[in-house]
Amino acid sequence: MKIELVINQTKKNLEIQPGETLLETLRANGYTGVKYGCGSGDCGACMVLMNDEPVNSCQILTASVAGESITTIEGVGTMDKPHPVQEELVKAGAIQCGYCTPGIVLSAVALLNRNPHPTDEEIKKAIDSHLCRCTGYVKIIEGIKNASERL
Amino acid sequence: MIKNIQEWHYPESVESALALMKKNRVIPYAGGTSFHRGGTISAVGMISLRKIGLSFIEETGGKTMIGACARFGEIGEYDFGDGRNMLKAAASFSASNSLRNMITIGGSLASLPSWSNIPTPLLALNAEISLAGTNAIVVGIEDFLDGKLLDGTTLITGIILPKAPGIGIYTRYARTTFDYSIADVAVYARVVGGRLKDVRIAVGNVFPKAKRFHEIEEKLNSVAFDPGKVATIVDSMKFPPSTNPTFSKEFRINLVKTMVKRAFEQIGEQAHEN
Repeated sequence: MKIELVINQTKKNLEIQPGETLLETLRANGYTGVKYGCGSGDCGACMVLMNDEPVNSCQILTASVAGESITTIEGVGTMDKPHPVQEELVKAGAIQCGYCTPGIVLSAVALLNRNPHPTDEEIKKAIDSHLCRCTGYVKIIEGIKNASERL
Repeated sequence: MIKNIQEWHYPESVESALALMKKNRVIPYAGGTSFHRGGTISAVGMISLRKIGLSFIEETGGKTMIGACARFGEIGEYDFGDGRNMLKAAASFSASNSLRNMITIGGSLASLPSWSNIPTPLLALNAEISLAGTNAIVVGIEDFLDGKLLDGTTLITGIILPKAPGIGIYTRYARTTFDYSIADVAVYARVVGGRLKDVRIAVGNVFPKAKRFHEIEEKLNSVAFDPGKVATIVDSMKFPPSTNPTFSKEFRINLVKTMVKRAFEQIGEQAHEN
């Protein structure tokens, strides 16, 4: 079936299978910053923003969100011009293997767009969808906090 | 990928959605999270409920009407202004931030997973469920949970919350915030002239379905609000928890009683502040 999605502010007409997940659609169309982790909405590696809110793309059937606006990590920053959240996570040492990082960046960007100066508790709640097995979260929270001071 | 699915429908009204539900192996799709947790499904057609106009929270005639497609994230941020805020608390503690942006209250009640944190506060708030289709009716939450009203051609359209001028306390116990809770408790009461009134106690996650403790509520109603007396009555709660691989029945019985007692302590503190 054919559907339209707005991905990173660009209209896309896509050919999809009716039972395909948004994660599968995005990866098949080159948005490989979206990662497959658990497939059950528990780890947050597949996070994208839908209409500026974080959602687990592994838990969404693409056909159900026809016409919606999706933001992936590719729409947030580039190697040459990273988003302040990306820069501050690097500076804080909040990244090791990096598998969870795109999702965490997206959740942090969504939080800071809505609430530019969050408390530690608000940051913890905003990233409660994410599992990071490398860094232990302290540096991630520090990085997001530092980004909030820059924005 | 769910391979069975062959077609999608995008109705723009409840009536159109209900007409589509009469087709063989065509089912409604709201937030969608339960489909993936349930593994393969036999349905071949899906009805998207995104455009049927049920994504709202409205105040009407002294009651709050929550559309079935309102998401936990929205409910968790809505200020009900009274004891109904225990539903706000339950919605904002459920699952994770990203899942709360997807799970709808109607979908949660339709799939009714045993770990859901929504039935417990709805029981303590005397909520009503509005259904459309074959079994079109407005039914109390207890009857909804006990009955078999969702027959495949009946759709939940909304949840109605009467005003709750008293104090509502909701708590859940889980090892980590994102873990399924092993017990959740919702307690509602008014304190009038130093006495408890309109006491409602609901407990979930320790049985297949959440339930009220009417007998204990009756014993507490009109009792002078003395923490010792309340604790003695709460200790008389009797229930057999279902099996849990991690926690013993004895632990969960004591846990629930402690949570209920602490809820009454909080009610006492808040009543004192008011």
